[in-house]
Amino acid sequence: MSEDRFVDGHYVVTQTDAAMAHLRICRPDEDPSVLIPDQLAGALARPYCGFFPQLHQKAAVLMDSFAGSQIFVTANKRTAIALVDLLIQRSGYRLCPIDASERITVASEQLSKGVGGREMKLEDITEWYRLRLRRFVA
Amino acid sequence: MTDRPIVQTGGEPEMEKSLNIAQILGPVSGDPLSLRVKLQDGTVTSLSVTAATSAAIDVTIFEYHDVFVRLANE
Repeated sequence: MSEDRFVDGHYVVTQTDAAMAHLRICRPDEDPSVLIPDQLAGALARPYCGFFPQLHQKAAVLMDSFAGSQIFVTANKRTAIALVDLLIQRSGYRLCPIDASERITVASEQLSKGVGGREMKLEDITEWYRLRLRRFVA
Repeated sequence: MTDRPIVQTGGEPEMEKSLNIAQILGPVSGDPLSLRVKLQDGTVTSLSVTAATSAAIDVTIFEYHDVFVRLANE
């Protein structure tokens, strides 16, 4: 049986998780292949390397690594959103809008486009998540 | 990276840190938690996620459906 792992109290997103999310996200007409296997492993190791103890930091580097790269043939921004959401959900947090006018799904979409277009620095992405992460109590 | 054991078809459980998924081959029929992959060394194996992780992925895909459609059509 597979086991979940946590670092700093935060869920560890694995290659298996990434592959499953990517497979489910890709449409039937899309190629779910990994373009750069070494980059996939590196992107998933980066949040847990010790330099990013806070969850908003881990979320930011995960978004930066996946939306800002071409790890998969396609659907990199979609997979980035899904993997960050997996990290957040499984760590007991949720993304919340910063005000009544914001829809968090649309805001995440815009974030992924900004990261993918190299328009956002890591510190900007980190601040984006810091402002929106809330602890979820079941 | 972690030493998380994963479910593997046959043999001893591999360590996640030693994995290098090269190709995602598809789901495992009849097992929604598993998928088939080819590793960088050419090995074809099946890997599994936990039920909680599977459910979390599905929740995200549901909540982000419209966003994912837009991004796919870019």
